[in-house]
Amino acid sequence: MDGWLRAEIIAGGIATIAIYSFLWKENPFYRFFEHLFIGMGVGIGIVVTVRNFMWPKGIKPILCGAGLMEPGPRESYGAAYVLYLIPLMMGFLYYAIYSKRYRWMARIVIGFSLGMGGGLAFKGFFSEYLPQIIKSFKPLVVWQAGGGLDWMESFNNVVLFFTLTCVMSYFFFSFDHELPVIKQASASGRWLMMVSFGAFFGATVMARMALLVERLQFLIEDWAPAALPWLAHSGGGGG
Amino acid sequence: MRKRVIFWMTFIGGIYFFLEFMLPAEIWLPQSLLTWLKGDGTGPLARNMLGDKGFIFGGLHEDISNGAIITGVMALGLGLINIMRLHGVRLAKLRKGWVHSAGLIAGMLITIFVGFWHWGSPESVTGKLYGNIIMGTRGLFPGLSSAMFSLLAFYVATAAYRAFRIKSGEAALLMFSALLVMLGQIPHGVVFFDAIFRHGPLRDVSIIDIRMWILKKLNVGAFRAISLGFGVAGLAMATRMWLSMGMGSFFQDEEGK
Amino acid sequence: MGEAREKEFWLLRVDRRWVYLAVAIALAGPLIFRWAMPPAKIGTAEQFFEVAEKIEGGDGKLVLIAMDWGPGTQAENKPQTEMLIRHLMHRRVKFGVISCYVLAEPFLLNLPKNVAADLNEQYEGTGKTWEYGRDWVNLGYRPGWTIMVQGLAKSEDLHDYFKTDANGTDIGEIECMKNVKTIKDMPALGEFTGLVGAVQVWLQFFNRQEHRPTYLHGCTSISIPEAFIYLDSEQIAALQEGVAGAAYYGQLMTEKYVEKGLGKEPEKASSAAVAMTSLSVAHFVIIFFIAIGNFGVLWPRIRRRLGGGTAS
Repeated sequence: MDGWLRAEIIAGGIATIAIYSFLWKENPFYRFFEHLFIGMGVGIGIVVTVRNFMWPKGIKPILCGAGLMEPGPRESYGAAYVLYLIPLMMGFLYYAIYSKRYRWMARIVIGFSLGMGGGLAFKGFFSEYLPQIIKSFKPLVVWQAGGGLDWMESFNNVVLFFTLTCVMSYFFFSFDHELPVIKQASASGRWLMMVSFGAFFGATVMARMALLVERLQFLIEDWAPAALPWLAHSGGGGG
Repeated sequence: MRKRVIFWMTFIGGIYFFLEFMLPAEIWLPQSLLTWLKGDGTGPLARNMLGDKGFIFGGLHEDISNGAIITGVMALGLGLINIMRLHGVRLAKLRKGWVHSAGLIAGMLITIFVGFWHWGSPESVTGKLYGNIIMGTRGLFPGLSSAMFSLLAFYVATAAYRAFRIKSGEAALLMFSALLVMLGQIPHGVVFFDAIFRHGPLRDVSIIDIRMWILKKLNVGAFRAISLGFGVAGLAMATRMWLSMGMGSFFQDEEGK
Repeated sequence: MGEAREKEFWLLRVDRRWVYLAVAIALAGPLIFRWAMPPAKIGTAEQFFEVAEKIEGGDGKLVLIAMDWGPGTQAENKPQTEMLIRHLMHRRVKFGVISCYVLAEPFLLNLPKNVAADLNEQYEGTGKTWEYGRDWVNLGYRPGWTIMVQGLAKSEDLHDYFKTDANGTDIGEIECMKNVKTIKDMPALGEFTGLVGAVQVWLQFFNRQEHRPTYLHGCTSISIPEAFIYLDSEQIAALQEGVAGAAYYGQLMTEKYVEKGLGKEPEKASSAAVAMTSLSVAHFVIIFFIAIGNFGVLWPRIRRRLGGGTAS
């Protein structure tokens, strides 16, 4: 096994054990690695963002457009790219938050970002929910190709429609639930939601346990043979 | 004055994307006007904003998008500054927990240093340090992240033991549904169910099919209703934010000016 | 307030650390002893396989794989993504990997590389090889989420939009990207994520009026109930349900591409089966804890009703 790969696996295993030490009780070993995690996370965010976006798509076009830097062999940046200075300067307004006198200027760029989100929400809503609404209108009586009634499909569509309307009626807060129909529908919706929440819980168990199994698999199949060579299985570490 | 500036900047932030969605891809213009605007066809207006039939509203979409992302990305430094203010001061004054703060700052600075230093040379020592030890798929950072998330598995187990009580009919239904879904997604569940119901009326029914029916019919109906509800609420909130409605305190500083 | 609180039934007084230990031992057992059972047959994984089998490949076509996951959800998303990449590589369908999530970077680089290395080893001597640039491209991390995805969909020149791949190589020099200019050259999107809201971003914005790529989605188990509403409305063509879906998909891949003598049995298949068995045991552990927790509450009441006195 390559030295760097072995070091990588050993470091990953030590980090994992440090975090799991919290299960016994809170301790300085865990706390140190927790802080290390936060610091590395911030560092990675900065490195990856600057390297993958800010430099090639932000700063380099400005410098090339202003003639301060030569573009790459297949690149060309017109003078108009200097206009990217405008969003760059706007971004600097975030840092006005540290000044008591000019703090209000940070709200300009925050408001701008909020406004963007608001504008994008329209397309997002219609793209996502219109097909949902359309597909909710399923036939309650389904006929087979040969002419007979497809009982199973009809039943399924009735169940889906009934569940949808009952659960929606549970969330109608704009009018009174005293009408017997609305009251019953709302009560049924509550029960039907429990089925959905149960499905969520069942899925959650799988999700959480999968995370633990992956870590245990790493510790048993990769870390143990790398850190404790006499435990190496034949064929080396696993996936 | 400040209020007005903030209001209009908020509105301008959203108006492009709103119009870009609402307006057709090409807004018709009379041919004579189109020809006059195009000129010799080499100007930026002709190249980006004018099509065969009219005005392309989203002609500069890519550059506008890049600009919007650049503005957002500039906020990264805020996190860095806040970390230095909190942990840097703790380290400088050797307050309680300074060792951990030292670890945080060291981790951050080392990651930034090797991340930028190795740029373009992954086989160098710094490249290996960044690509293997720090960011390797089995390295430090992925290991820490995975381990943090995997702690939840233990908490699910203790929550199942201490908190999940079947105290009502609804709770019983929730647990029953969860049981069916859980058993239907694991190989042992299939074996277990088949073993119990091998001879009864459910002998031709598979727990996998029961799970799929719950997810595809009952769950879709219920969750779609919930999803539609918060989708509409989300749109309403987004509209309120865009139009700065009910945002009085956002325009004021702490003194209420 | 003056009365002593009735002592809890002993079954409810077990220290949480014993619970943690029980969970760890129950899950580690199958991993140590390599106990493997075939995965449960997941219908959606079968559907995913069939849709992936029909994706149009060829020159000028590129499937986009959005790996919006990181180390926190790699347990579920990594095998899902790996299976699709493996499938596309077997079928010689070119693909590009991209992510809007900063922590996906090492996986964008290493996952396709590792699958290609594995396939090259399996098919050694047959003349079949897989290499970066010809078979796949790493488009890297692209920040901006909604704005980035929308810009990508609307772009009339993806070479100008991306400019370079994640390694800094000009996009025009990468063989598989040569004739890929717009979203219309992308027949499918494979979106794998454990992040809240990520699937909606691609659903809402990665399309045009005249073209909507086939949407394949792989989610963590916790998002399965949510993903089904999109599957029902046909906004998603196929769904991989967490690690269980990936495990069964892996089995289908083994049946189609390995057992028919097209390559050696990959060792990873057995690792996935072992992990699935461990997960299976984990589920029974949770059911057991729910049962004893509720039994611990019910038993004293039953004893009192039967005249058994106070709980011990």
